Amino acid sequence: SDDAWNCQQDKNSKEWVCMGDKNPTPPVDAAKQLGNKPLVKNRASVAAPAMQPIPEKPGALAPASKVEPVKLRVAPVVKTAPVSLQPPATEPTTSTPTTVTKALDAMSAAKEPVEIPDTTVEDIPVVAEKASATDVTPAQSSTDPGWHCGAVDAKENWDCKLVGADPKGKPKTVKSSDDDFDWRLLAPVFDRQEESIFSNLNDRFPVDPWATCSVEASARKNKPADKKLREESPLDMNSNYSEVFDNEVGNYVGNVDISRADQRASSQAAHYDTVSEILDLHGNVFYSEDEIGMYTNSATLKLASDEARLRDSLFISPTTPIRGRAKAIYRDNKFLSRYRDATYTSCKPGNQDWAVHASELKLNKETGKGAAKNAWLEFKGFPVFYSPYLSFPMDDRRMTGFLAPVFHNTRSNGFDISTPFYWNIAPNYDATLRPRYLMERGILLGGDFRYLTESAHGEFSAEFLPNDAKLSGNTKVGDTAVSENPNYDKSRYQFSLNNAIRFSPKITSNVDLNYVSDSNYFSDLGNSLSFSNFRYIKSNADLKYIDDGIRLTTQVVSYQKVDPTLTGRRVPYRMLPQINLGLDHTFNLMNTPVFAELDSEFVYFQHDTDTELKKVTNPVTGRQNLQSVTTVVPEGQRLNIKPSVSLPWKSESAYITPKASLQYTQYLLNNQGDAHPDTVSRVLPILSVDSGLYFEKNVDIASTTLQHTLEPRLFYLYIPRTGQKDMPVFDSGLYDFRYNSMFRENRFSGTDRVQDANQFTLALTSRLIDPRNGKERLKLNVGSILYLQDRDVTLASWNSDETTSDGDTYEANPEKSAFRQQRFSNFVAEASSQLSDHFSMDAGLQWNPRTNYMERGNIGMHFVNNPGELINLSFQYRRDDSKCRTSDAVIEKNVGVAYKPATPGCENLPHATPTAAELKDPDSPNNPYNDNTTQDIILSDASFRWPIYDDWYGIGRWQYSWAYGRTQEAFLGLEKENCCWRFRIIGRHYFNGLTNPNSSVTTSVANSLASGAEAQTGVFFQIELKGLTGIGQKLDDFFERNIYGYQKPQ
Amino acid sequence: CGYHLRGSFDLPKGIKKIYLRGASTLLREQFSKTLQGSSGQLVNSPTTAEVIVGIFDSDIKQRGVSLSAGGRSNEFELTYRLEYELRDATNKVLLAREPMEIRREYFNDQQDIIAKDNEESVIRTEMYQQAVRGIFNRLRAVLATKPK
Amino acid sequence: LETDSEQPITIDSNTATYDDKTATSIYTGNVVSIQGSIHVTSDQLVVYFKDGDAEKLVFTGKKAKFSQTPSVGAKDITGEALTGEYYPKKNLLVLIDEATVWQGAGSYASQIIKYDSKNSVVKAGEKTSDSKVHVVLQPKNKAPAKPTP
Repeated sequence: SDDAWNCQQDKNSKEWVCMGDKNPTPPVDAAKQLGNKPLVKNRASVAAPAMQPIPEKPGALAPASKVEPVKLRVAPVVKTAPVSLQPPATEPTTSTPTTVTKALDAMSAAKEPVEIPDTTVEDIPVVAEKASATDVTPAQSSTDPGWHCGAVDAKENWDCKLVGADPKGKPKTVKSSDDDFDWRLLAPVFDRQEESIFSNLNDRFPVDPWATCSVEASARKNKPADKKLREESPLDMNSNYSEVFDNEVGNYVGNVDISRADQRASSQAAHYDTVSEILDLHGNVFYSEDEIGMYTNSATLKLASDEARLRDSLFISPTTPIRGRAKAIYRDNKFLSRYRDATYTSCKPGNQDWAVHASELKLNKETGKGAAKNAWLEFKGFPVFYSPYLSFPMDDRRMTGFLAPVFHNTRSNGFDISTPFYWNIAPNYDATLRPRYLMERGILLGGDFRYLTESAHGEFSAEFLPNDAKLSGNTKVGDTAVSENPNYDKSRYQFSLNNAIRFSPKITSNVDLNYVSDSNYFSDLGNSLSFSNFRYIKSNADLKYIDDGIRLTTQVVSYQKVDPTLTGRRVPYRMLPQINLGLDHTFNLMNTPVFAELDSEFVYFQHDTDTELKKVTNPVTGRQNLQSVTTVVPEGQRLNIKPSVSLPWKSESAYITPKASLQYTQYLLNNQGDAHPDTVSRVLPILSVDSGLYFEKNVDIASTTLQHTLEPRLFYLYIPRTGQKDMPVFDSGLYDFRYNSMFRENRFSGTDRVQDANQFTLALTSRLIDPRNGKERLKLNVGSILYLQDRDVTLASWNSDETTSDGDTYEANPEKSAFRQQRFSNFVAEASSQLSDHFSMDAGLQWNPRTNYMERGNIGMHFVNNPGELINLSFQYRRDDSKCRTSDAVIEKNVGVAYKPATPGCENLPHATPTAAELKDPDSPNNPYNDNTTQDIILSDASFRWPIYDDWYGIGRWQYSWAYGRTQEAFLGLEKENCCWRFRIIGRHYFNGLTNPNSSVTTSVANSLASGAEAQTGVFFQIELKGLTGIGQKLDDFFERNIYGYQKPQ
Repeated sequence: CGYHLRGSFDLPKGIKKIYLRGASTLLREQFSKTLQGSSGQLVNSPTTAEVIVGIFDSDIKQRGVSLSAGGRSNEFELTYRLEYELRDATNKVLLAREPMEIRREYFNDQQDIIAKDNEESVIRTEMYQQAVRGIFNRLRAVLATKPK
Repeated sequence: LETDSEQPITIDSNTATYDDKTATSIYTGNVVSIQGSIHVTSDQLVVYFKDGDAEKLVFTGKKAKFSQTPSVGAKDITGEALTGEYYPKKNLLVLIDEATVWQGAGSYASQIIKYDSKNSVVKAGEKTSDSKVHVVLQPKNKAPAKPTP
């Protein structure tokens, strides 16, 4: 082409290296300049121009790509013949003999491997004039391949003309108006013409790499097969004009379009030598194959070995996908390509939100790793980040390297940054090291190790904070180190191991061990987004044998309390071990199935003796004060065997399932003191009959016929009454009363308490079903329990520690006697509906017939526009009248105050003696008439994620508690999600309550609020350049937990 | 008043052998119990099954939905999300892959911890049972609309 | 072969006429003309004489065909087109309209192809943007494309 070679001698290899310099000299003098100046003075050792890699630092290039200089016949230098011959196009037949012969003798010279023959290929001037002055951008002249459409006069129809092969790309408007480049410090990365080239180059790929925007989807595993395919498929070349010499060397001029297997190239002129299989392309060169697409002004491709070198070219690598511009591209083979002075981005053509400028970029498809040297990142026109070395994954293979640094700022820890490093040790082992610096507390080292074998997989993670500056108090206040806690020297750590082994398809074992050094670890150091407000950490290890008809599980469970207020009896027991054996079998009795089942369990409950602060009444002064008391808590072994038989009879539209079971429970206890027996046992028959009918009618609502069903259900339960006060309460508790709890055979969970029952549960379920697809538009459940007798069995067990006996039995949260004597349970109604594809609603109500109060109420409305656009509103109300409330406690005799006995059943309730002033002040925590308990819930919750403008989303949640008059959880933030980057920033106001002391059950709300937690605030942000790196907190899980209906983008 | 008795509780006519692909052990257990209730059974190879149920389920997720005065979660929500598809004996798709979501809330002020653990496992079992009933209802609706 | 241009041209056809005034002779009806290794079949052939020598032969046909052995032992080069013009002195053959030439592993198709047998140069197409040349080069190890009839 018209570019002139400039050659300089290379410093260390002493060889001449010719690089075609960029600035094309106008055609005329190029002829003069080349015509007389001998191409290369030093004939002896001419390296093929530029095939020898420009010598970089020896270590820089990975050894694999050490390319020795390739001795190659000098590519024919195309230069204009001295006489510019323009054979008149009209002259049909003969072309002047002189040109033929002239071309010929030069050609003959070209055949033998002479060092530097120069071949003249005339008629090239045609090309030279057309190539416009600027180096890369094509002349938008009519010879540009593809369709060119312009508006034709007023009739608004298009006059389109196809030039060259039909690129079959997508139609695009050639932007006439200037782009609205927003304010940028630096020049736009790619100008408009380059962007149009990119989109043209992009259309050449069979699948648009940016169609799905995600690395996984586009990372098709390429099949190396097409190397062979290329060798076997023919080379198909189209052009306006071609000259082939001796069937070996051919020149093609004008709209050249070449294709072979997956390779496709188009240019204004091409030269192909079939012997050495070297293809030279000039002028507006597009080259694409499945691995890469390139645009440049001149390119040399060695088709045999997939090597190529191009100057000043634009490239697209579809698998990542990445596009960019480079001063020079060297393709060493099908999988490895190196770019010098490259600028690249993963944003789709037309979008230049971020770009990396690197002195050298290497894309290796075999290892799936991209690496850039002294790269600096430009984001939205502002230089943001520099790094001497940057590596990034090109497909979804795991790769060692730095992960997205995570940093946020919270009041308790100040600025908090961690830079995780992922180490892909082996295909089935990997590790992530998490050094973390907290401004207020110092350096914390964390890490986890994952392993996977055929039969086992697991993860071990640990965190270690040698010296917590905040606690040991040497954070600077002014210049002196203020020590909050001088004797604090312990290091703080946390570790967890979970491991699952599958010994055989039937035998599996799971281990989940967790330990933390101190109870405030999570609230202080836990990642405050995943903080789950738990009061304890559970560790267990189990071994399971599961086969059809038999389930045998042995497990060991222990809890570590995280909440300092968990003391004495409320610290959970350890189960060392718990063995469950479940057998079930279906017999066939006169062709009705009989379902027999056996549940059996052996548990050893173990508990440390604990000291706790308890209110103790001084027998002399009658005043109560807090004393630390060691509480002796019952321990022991429990065996429970429960065989049961049921006859599930079903017909088309009715069912009735009588079930009979016998429960035998045996305790072997210790530290019962001498007043109570060490062995206690209980035998109880349990009879239940579950029955239901199914009515149905087609009904027309809003012009669609729906099926309306009525499904009445009757559940009868009879269990004789037996005293169970002598049995300790290890693992029993009251179920939360809901529609589904009305069909359980016991109102207590666990095995320690079996309720006495003689009751009918009457319930009705009604649905509106869309017959076309069976989807439930609306589902309503209503029901109530008719008790035929009072319920005597409670959770009360005799009081083991005589010292503080407030009566002979102890029950943490006693039920009112009146509640146990009710004829009807709460009347329950629960509804859920999918009114339309966008709107769904769920509601619930419980009305207490005894107190004529609404005890539970909730309503939630959920609106989903497109996926990811959500609005949720919900209100929740809970007031538990079955349990004793502060107003049920006894009021001591007091001057000028009428004596008020406790509500029956609540006598043991710890009660405070209000002063006269407190009695008058309704809000005083000690005022028993201040009738609430910490159990009540009155809260409203709103959350949303809604698009604001151009891929920007507002996202937020606000939960306000009317019972406590404060905001419980609130965050608000912005999120931007598009093909090449994701940005999120949220400000959060939240409670992690474990830092506050006592908040036992029955203290009044005001009391626990007074001692309540103080709110925390924090700012969390995440920026992720897809296909490159990411910075900041992974907020996906946090959003999924906080916004109803939000799902992590895959 | 126009309501008439219609089949709902029993398995659809003639469907006794079901092959379950990909379900978690707990869901599989509830499937076999429900089937035994109406004399159907889980077979262990797709060839002998009349209906193939493909399940893509993950574990049940738990999240705290309300905070107590002391700032600790006292109401939890369990969410069970699964996707399922129904195919006939010849592996032809009867119902393309479809999500199902079951949510349950229960009060748990983390006082008696083991008792609430037991309650949660009872609720999980009930959620699996509801999922199985939901899948059978859809199977009945799909078979009803598609002529044999 | 290089010696082809010195060989005599033999032509046989159904009919032949000679027009002295225009110094042209016209042969029609499955004309077969041979000169050395050059072998041309066509429906019609017009020969233009200049001072006694055949200066230009124009043959037309529903795909007139030609073949030649470029050098001793080399594979034949063949071609076809609606009209062909041969200049014996210049060893130049020009095929016009639906012209195709097969040479070794390559096949060349265009609306005009000039084949210079002495220097074995094949030029196809014109330098106008609407001219079309379609070249197919078979890969080395596969057999060259057979001339399509």
